[in-house]
Amino acid sequence: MKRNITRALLASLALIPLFSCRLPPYDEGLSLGIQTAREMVALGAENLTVGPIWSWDFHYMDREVYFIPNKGNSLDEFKSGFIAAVDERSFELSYVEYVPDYFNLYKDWGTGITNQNPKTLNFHAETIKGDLCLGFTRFNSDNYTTNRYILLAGPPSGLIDWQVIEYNLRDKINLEAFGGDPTKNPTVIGSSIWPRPYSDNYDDQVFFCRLAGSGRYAEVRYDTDPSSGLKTPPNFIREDIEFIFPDDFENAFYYHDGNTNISFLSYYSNTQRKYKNYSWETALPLLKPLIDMDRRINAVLTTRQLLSFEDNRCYVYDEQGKEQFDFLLGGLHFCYEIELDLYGTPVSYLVFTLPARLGMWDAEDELYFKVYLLPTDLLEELK
Amino acid sequence: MTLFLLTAFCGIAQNSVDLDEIRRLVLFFETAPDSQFTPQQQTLLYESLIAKLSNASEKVALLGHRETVIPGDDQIKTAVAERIGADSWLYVAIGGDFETAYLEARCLDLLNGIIAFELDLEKETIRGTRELGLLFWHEVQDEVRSYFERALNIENTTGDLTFQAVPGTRIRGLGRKRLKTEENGAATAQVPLPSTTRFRATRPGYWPVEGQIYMDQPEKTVILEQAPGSRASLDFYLNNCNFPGFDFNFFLLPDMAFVRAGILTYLFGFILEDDESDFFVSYTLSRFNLGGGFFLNAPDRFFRPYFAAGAFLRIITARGYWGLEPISPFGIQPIIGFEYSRQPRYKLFFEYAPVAYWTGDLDSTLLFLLSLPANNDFSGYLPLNWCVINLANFKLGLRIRL
Repeated sequence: MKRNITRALLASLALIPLFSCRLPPYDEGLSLGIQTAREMVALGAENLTVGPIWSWDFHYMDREVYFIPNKGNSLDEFKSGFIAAVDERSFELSYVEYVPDYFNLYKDWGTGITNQNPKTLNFHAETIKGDLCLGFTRFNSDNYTTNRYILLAGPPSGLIDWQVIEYNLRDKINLEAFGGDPTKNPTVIGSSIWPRPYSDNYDDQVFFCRLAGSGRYAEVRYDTDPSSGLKTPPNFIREDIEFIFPDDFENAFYYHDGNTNISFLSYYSNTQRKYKNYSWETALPLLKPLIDMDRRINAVLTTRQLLSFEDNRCYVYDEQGKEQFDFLLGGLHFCYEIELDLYGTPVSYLVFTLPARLGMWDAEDELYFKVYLLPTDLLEELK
Repeated sequence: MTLFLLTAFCGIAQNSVDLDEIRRLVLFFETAPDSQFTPQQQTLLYESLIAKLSNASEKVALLGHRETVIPGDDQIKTAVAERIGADSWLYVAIGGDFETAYLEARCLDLLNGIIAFELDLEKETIRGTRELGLLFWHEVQDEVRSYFERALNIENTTGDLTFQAVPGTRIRGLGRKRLKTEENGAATAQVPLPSTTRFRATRPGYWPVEGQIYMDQPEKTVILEQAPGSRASLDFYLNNCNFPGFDFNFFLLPDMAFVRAGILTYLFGFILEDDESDFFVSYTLSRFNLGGGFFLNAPDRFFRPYFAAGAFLRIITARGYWGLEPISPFGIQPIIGFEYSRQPRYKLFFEYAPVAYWTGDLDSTLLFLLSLPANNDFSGYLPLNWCVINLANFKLGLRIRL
């Protein structure tokens, strides 16, 4: 009897390898994000599904994967856009185009870039009106491709050096915008896209803040062209912004609101171990510290509310840096805000990535994205 | 100790005697330590006794039994007799020397529970060896004959054996009938006198008591010391050999029926099989469990199977959010398990514990499947419209009785 029991025990233990190594059915980003996504749908947000997308390199699922919808004026147009796969060392950009009931994946539009220093990555990519994408990162790139829509920049620390992947355009920008030798890397603090309302006839604009001399910085504006990306030459807004950056600053954010001509700057101070935030008006370029705000500015809305994404939440501040409310973000990715004819009011794009697993519904892996369009004034309802 | 059993089935059943009526008598023979018999004389005495008893009555068959040490206690003699199939025993001891011998004899009838006869004699051997065959065992032979000729007609003698225990205690071992103690904690059974009775007393909530009683009096009361079972235990386990868990079990019925509360956390764990992955993994998810169950056998068994069932909440403790997991906030878990140990306090346990995650609708079911970590296949998962069942789940751990 005892022998039988012992055998039964050993047999049970022998089954362990069959069951072991079961990871929990849980994805923090998905679980947290779906909570807010459900609330957005309850508030009437438009809810689009992009996919299924096949033939994508699922090797990249180890990375953070974003869908960056095109800036169109119809729901179908939002189903096309860029897929960015980002990790500590590199990112991959592909383009997916929606035709009714079908998704075409264009890898030709994609590019892979290797980052030499994992601490310096600060990926930012945004489409511009006209379905093109402009990306900004803090990279040391060792890979020059011919994609003309990707802008890369960044030394390991300190000021951001500017480079443009598309060779001719890079030379032009170096020469025209920064007046420098193409072989030299001019220094850029940050860059941002100012989306224009879809109803007007103007294209989006790209702003840069770059070093103009010792203790002096310049703000530069590029207009965009739906067919070619950046239009040159650039326009200088001001060249006499006086400010002394500490040597240890990192992870800078710069935004210029073309409507109000107010700029925002955010960076991390390694010495003080916190983010420092400033704003200034173009007409009076004296940097005003936003002393109540110690999180990074990650986005600026048309209402001049400042968004900060930290610890799975989105914190919303007013333009003076006073915290107003926050809501759960999780794996939702705030893409951008745009004014659409469709709504007649600024709309925030939030995107979810839903990677399907191998063999789940088909022999092939599939990729899904959920795109939520929520009128910006309803963000407060998510708190 | 060299033990040999000499079976001298000397009783010759006559045709006139029903075989069922033949009694089986075992003989315990010894010489006193201070006796002065030579080995040859001892053998002669023993064999002459065997010869006399074999012819004592056609209603008795003699079983010879010789050990280097004869059981000194009547209870043990009875046990030995029962073991070799006898229904009575005769103890004979002689001392002195070959001229003047002292004889002591005592016969006990196991069927009737009485002492058949007792003798205490002094014998002089006048005619030497010849007298052995004729006269020396005469009294013993007569007593055996006279008793066993009428033994079947004697009314059985029994005694009242009373157990005093916790009310509701069930007692096995007293024949086919099971005893159960009344509200006053007593239960009485009639048992043969004398006899040895093995018993096992069980009462849910108490450790079973086992033992044996030698009944040699018309009335006897046995008080059972029943230790109450454990009221609580702690479980430390690994779920699927990956993630740690902890349960506190409170026994509503000590050591039998329990309710439990515990936590299984994915905040830290380890994976063994994937060389490319980190050894340690962490997820901001924990499960708070409530449940109950019952064991299927007594607490003194080394192997104890049990059933249990429970419900759980899935709690996220991520930065920026502490609360229910929204895709599948709760579920249920049936459990089949067993614990095993020879130690009453520390037990190893194994539980097969499939998990049913409630999702509520098909969309959430799909989201739940998407929640699985990359490169984790779906084997063992059974998705349904309103829930997902994980059939491949088990726990292995250590249970400590408090």
